[in-house]
Amino acid sequence: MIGIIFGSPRSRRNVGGNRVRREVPAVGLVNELGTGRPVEQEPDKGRRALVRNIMTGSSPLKQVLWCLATLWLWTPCLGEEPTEPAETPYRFEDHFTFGAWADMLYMDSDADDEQEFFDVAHLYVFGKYTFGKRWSSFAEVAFEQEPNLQGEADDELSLERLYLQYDWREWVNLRLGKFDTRAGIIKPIHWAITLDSIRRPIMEDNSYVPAKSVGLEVFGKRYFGEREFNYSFALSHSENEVTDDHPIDRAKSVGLDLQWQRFDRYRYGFSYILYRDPKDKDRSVEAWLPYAEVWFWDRALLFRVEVLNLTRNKAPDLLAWYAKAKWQISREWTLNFRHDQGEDELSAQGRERHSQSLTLAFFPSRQWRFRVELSQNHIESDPRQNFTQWLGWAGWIF
Amino acid sequence: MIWRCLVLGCLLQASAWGQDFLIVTSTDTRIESLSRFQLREIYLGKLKSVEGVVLRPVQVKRKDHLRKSFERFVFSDRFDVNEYWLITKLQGGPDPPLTVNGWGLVLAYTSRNPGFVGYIPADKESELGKYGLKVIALR
Repeated sequence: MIGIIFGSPRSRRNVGGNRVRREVPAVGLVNELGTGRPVEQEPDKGRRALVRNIMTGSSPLKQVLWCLATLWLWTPCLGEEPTEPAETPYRFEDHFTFGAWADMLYMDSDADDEQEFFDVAHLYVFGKYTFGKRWSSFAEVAFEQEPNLQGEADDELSLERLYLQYDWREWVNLRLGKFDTRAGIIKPIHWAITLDSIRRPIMEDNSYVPAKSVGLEVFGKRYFGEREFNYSFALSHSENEVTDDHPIDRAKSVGLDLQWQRFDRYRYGFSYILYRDPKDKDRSVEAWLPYAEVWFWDRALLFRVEVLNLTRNKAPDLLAWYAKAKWQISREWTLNFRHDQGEDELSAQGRERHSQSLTLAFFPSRQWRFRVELSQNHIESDPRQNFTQWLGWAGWIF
Repeated sequence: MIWRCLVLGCLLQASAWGQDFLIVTSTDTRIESLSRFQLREIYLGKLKSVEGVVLRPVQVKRKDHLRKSFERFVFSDRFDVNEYWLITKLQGGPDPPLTVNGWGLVLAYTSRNPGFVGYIPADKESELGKYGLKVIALR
């Protein structure tokens, strides 16, 4: 039974004695239906000046500071109490949303040269500020300590994303800054917290196509009945270089991703990205990535495949792919099987690696999630280096 | 007559998923009916306008039985809408629907904001006139 007492909403400031709040985390709830006057949201001038000073720098450290300062700048908005509903209608107010996630990883194997790894692997903090109906900005800072197959890991603090977005129409939106590269299915959701497995697919683990782009993206969608067509077109200048031993670094690129999907049923698409070294016009890398995903039995079973074909004009071509099946046992439990195959420059010195991984995942609540994984790895041309790996993972998100 | 059939169809269909509910909006909103697909896309933040009318969803709190009934009706059993919003937020995607504390506030919000869409218990249909609201039929 829902306990609301009826009456004219104009006669009471608080309908049914209830307060209003948005379900996004309870920070930045500055402009709920309120007292009829807007809540002060402008950061003070001193903070603005500090942010402006930091923005003038361009080094990675300064970029990180810029991001942290941006988050700090808006902290006065975070502590505001949601106010009671009143006469003023709720409109498209400015608001801030904030989130974070972290995970711990345990990894061990029977390989001769591998070390056991047990530590915090990721800590991500991100925030989005929406102003008006169409504009928003997003910033994300990450601490990563991600081991390779040998269990070796380096610490890294980085500015993962920082962009300004303009939502004009469903079919045309713009994003300017540093954003996720839109290519395939896994790359735009490559975070450990969102995957079905602990180790990423082979092409993602190797970062054959950079996860981030710096530049301009135009994206949108169009409905055809219950089917949806999505596209993304990006012009970017990545931070890395095009070299012969590692595919893409410091390059200019153009990328296109086309996707056709029906919610809960299927998703097909392909991505194309061309990277070119601005210093050497003959040095370029082309990436083709067709992908497909199909759901069966009311989302109980999922099959997915992604194939990356990398053509390098000054180095051998490269092929890497994976195929997976996921059984959604219940909302809390999933079982995932994945086969990876391809040349592995990160963990097998460029030789072909095949692996089969079985992952059992348990999500007991919205915030917590756990996974255990067992994988069998075969290194081509050197069977002595075959190994079995077992992993445990715990993640937290809000 | 057709209109009544549509509303009745909406009620009958909704009742199969638990508590009966009505999809409501302001009489100033130039939308008379929505498909279940459109409703789902609107409540996932993916569809922002229908026939040129900008729509904004309003929902009640997660533990409210009314919301559970609505989500059972709109989404498939295995679709975890909370997980969807966590990932959407991580991706910098659209914001979740405005969440209010009970259907009384759904009435208040939708009545004052043309374009807002919400759901209320079916047995409160008599309140719609007071608030200047109308039922959106399901196609």
